[in-house]
Amino acid sequence: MAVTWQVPAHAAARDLERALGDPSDPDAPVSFGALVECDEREEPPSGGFEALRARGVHAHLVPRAWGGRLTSFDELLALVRVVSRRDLVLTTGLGSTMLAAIPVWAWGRDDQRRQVAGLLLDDGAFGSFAVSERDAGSDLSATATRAEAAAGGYRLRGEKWLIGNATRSAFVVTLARTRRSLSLLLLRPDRLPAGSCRRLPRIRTLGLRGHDLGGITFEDCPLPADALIEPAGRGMEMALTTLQFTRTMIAGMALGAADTALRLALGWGCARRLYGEPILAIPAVRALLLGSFLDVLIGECVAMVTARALTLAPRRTSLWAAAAKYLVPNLCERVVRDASVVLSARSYLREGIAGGVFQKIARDVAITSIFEGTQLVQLSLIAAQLGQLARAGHRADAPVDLDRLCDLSSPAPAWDPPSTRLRIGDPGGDELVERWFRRPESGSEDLEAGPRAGAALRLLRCQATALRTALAETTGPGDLSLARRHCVLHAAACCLQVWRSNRERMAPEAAGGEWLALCLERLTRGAEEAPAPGHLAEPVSAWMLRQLDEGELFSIVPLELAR
Amino acid sequence: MSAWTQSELLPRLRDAFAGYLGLEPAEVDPDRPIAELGLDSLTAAQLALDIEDRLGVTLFLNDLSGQETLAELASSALGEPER
Repeated sequence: MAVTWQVPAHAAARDLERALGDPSDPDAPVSFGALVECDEREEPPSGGFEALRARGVHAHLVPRAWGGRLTSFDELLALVRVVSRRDLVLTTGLGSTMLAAIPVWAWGRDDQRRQVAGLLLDDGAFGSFAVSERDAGSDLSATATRAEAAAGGYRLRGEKWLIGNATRSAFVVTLARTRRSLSLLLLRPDRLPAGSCRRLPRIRTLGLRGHDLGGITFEDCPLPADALIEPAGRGMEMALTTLQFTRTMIAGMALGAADTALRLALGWGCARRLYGEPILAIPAVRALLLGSFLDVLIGECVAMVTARALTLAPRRTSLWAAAAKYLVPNLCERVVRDASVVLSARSYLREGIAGGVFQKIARDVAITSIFEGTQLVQLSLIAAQLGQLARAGHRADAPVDLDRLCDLSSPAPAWDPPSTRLRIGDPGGDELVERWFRRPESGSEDLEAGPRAGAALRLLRCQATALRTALAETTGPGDLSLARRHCVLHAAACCLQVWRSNRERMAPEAAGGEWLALCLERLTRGAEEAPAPGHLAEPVSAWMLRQLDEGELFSIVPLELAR
Repeated sequence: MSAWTQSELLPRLRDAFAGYLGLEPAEVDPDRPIAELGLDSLTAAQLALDIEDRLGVTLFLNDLSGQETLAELASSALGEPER
């Protein structure tokens, strides 16, 4: 079946995918074999970064206004997925750079923006977002690095630790204490006096062995007054707003890793013969792989909605990006774990299938639920915001148009960085959950996917009612189980709304909604229960196998992969 | 710098706090330490941003987490700017 529904936001990813070639081909510009060799030597995948530079990937980190190609975040999300399906080390290097660049685009002065744009567009440079410290971590208010007022500017003192691109960054955005509060400062290590900005040795890690993770020490480092990203004193708020963009992209990283894991496991399921037939014929294996496909589809719906919300519903993303960062890495890590069950002993080898890349993915993907705030940090952010919504109600602001938010046929508007407001809490509501689960009858007329979808929907509505009661009775943000329950409802609502807003253009396998019914069931069960075989599972399994055979990304939206 | 006087600012801060706490302004005691009003740190930081947007008065998170009362906050908020 030919790919018919082309989503405009995926055009750049399709081009990049074709240019990067099939990673299982050892002669491709970015191949699993070469990436595993870099990993074995604990070296950065320089060839991979060079291939990305040569194909202009850095321009996608620079907004149009400063000469780049960054437009909407649904476009960037698709790019992140196709690079991440090859190697998370590549997207971690680029993601750390993006983290440092976002506050410059959003709040920097024009000369600061032009400087960073030049570094990215001309040199394909790396950047560092130097926020965390040995004794601070997620508690930004414990930041000890200080930028004291000195003649003509600041004197910076302190150590930043667990910093991406720490030994190779051409520009650094750092968080430091100014007078009463914290501020962000942009600096160029190559322009500082010798010894005042010292890069620490690379830190060894379980996965991402080719990533440049390290630290930076500032010793009486003189900075001009114009190093400040204004306004002074809003560094923490800028950092937390910035993370809403990059946390959404981490969902894309996790989805890329999950795609390769599932592709390898499903390919193995078809090729491996035991007891006289392919192991895919074993019901438990088939169910495990189908469950993984559903996890990818759920994660994709959440990620796409959040990426579009960054420009279509920016007030909601303090809540939704935290939910995406909690949900999608969890789902994708389960995909990788289940793939290792199917691959069995092969999952443990550093050679063989696809150059032995699976064990590397299994180590690498673990970072997605750790960096930029662990799962507990995300749940705490969500709990605080749900508490605030329960306490103060939904404040008047423009309601989010859910059909526009989720209609993938029209790209989300381009990001306009100077209009980015600092917003870290009080999200105003979650229309997705309200639309689908607030009123007893809401939306059920749309569900043609049969009685099982209806039953799952009724169960989710009961769960939503119970959650509202619990939130009204809770006194503090301490109960993270409420945040977890909200995330499940949010994920289900994303699946429902993506289906609702796109079903007329979807491939027949997606338009029918069998996948939707299975995803809703999977979310209501919450646990590790495999999808039941039967009239819903059969067509969805067939769809998954067709995507494998025809070389498409595992997705609701067709995206052809390089062959 | 803000153009408010302290007596003008205090009722507006009370309104802003009340909105966040889901209370009527009269229910917010201006002589009670802010820490006891029951805002978590994330929400308090967002409140400070809203106050800046609406009133042009810059508050920082540490201003909102301490033992100061709302009345004391209204006078200290009119102090020196950060730089």
